[in-house]
Amino acid sequence: MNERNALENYIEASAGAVDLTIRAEHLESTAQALAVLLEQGKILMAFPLEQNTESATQYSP
Amino acid sequence: MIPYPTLAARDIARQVRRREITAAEITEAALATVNQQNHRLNAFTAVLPERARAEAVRVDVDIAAGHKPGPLAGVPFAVKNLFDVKGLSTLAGSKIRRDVPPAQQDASLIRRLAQAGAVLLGALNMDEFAYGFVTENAHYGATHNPYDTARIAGGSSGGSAAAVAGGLVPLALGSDTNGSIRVPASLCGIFGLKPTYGRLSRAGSFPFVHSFDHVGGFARNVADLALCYDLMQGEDPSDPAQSLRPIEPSLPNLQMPVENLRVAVLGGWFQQGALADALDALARVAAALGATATVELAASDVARAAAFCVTAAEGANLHLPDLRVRAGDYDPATRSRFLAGALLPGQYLLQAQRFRAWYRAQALELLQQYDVLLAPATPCIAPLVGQVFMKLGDREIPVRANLGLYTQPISFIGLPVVTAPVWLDGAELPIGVQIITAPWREALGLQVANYLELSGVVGYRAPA
Repeated sequence: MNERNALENYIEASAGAVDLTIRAEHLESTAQALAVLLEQGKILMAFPLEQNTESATQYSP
Repeated sequence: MIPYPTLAARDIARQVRRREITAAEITEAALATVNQQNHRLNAFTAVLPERARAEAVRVDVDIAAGHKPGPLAGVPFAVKNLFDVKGLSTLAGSKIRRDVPPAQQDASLIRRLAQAGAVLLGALNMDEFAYGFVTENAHYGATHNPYDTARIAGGSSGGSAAAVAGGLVPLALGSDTNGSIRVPASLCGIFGLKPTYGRLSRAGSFPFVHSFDHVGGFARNVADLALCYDLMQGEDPSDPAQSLRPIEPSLPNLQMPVENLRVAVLGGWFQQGALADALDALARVAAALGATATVELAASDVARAAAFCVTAAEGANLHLPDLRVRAGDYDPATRSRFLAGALLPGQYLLQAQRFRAWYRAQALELLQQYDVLLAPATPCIAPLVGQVFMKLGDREIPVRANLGLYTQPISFIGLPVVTAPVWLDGAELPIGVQIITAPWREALGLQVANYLELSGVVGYRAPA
């Protein structure tokens, strides 16, 4: 399976999980945008955070 | 004839207060300028002549009655069209929101400026839902750079920056989630302030990414920007994310000498790929402030990646109901990123929020060693309208997503930034430098920008 097929399969599976239907004409551009996001996600997930690093979801500088 | 396009906000207010000119006359001059220039720039999406004239008359009547009209008496201003304006549908650059009921009241910041005597002229173009750095909007067209209309104004607050730089208004409001004040301020050669996260009320502005949406202002000189900022401060219970800090005005110390400041230049990520214009502008500002150290804010590439993922996911969550039923009505450039953002793994968001705590701690440590950090605002001068890619270093990368390379890590942790415009020798287009300070030290950033402006290192130039 090539990378684009894998992306499209991912899109189909995860879109259903959030009750979203991606129209055929939007699939190509969504796959491109998703590829960029996943690339950024890899950079983010590779960062070695200490286990005791607390979340800053409630943000106040 | 009134030289309206070059008048500072403070000069307009002073002349109106002294009855050397009326607010009505200034408003007519402003409306005439918008009428002449907007077809060239496409900065305004709505002009409100009746409202502006009525507000101006109110200012003049107040003055005639001996009342104090406020520090912005008769000063025209305009706002990015994601701010609620009473009687207008709040578009946020979209087609989807054209049919929402008109706002019942103005956004909090508009009310504050109006209470100070300012006169609202209209609403301004932007990237759809603030998701972009170019203001090339599929529904409302591109906003053009006042110095070269073949080029973009930047975004997403492109209409705000073009309107101020083009002399249509002396003050404008915008928002900045990932760089949407700093990027257009850089490309349009004006001053922009993105305050600390939580400083100014966002009530009555359409959100993009709650966890790092900021609102702020644009002006052609630092004193106008400082005055506008001071007037917009103050607690507003209708924005739950707003800090309860007291008002900390910037004007009292604006003219104070800048001495014994510890200033450093951000290296690493913040210079990687930057073109000569950006680096030369940075060097000029650094030299003027005596900055000799170059320091690294570690893992800024990760901060940018985190901001990228959070933006897509939070934005998508906000838009999920519309994405389900009318995805076709979005700007194609926005739609693909929202759809993709809706599908991101939850782990990305959790990692991003935990990383934010780590990254913020590194930045605050650096800001204990230095009072001011400097960085380019954009990696290059304004690209052409319609330009899809730009070359940075040896990489060809998309313009739309990457003009905010150096702004995204900073807004991710909510630090205050003043963007100051530099004109290099022989340059035909400006470029901005970010003056970054510790949280809540906007006044210091403005003081430094004011010193640089008075020294002739940074400043606005009227378009030919």
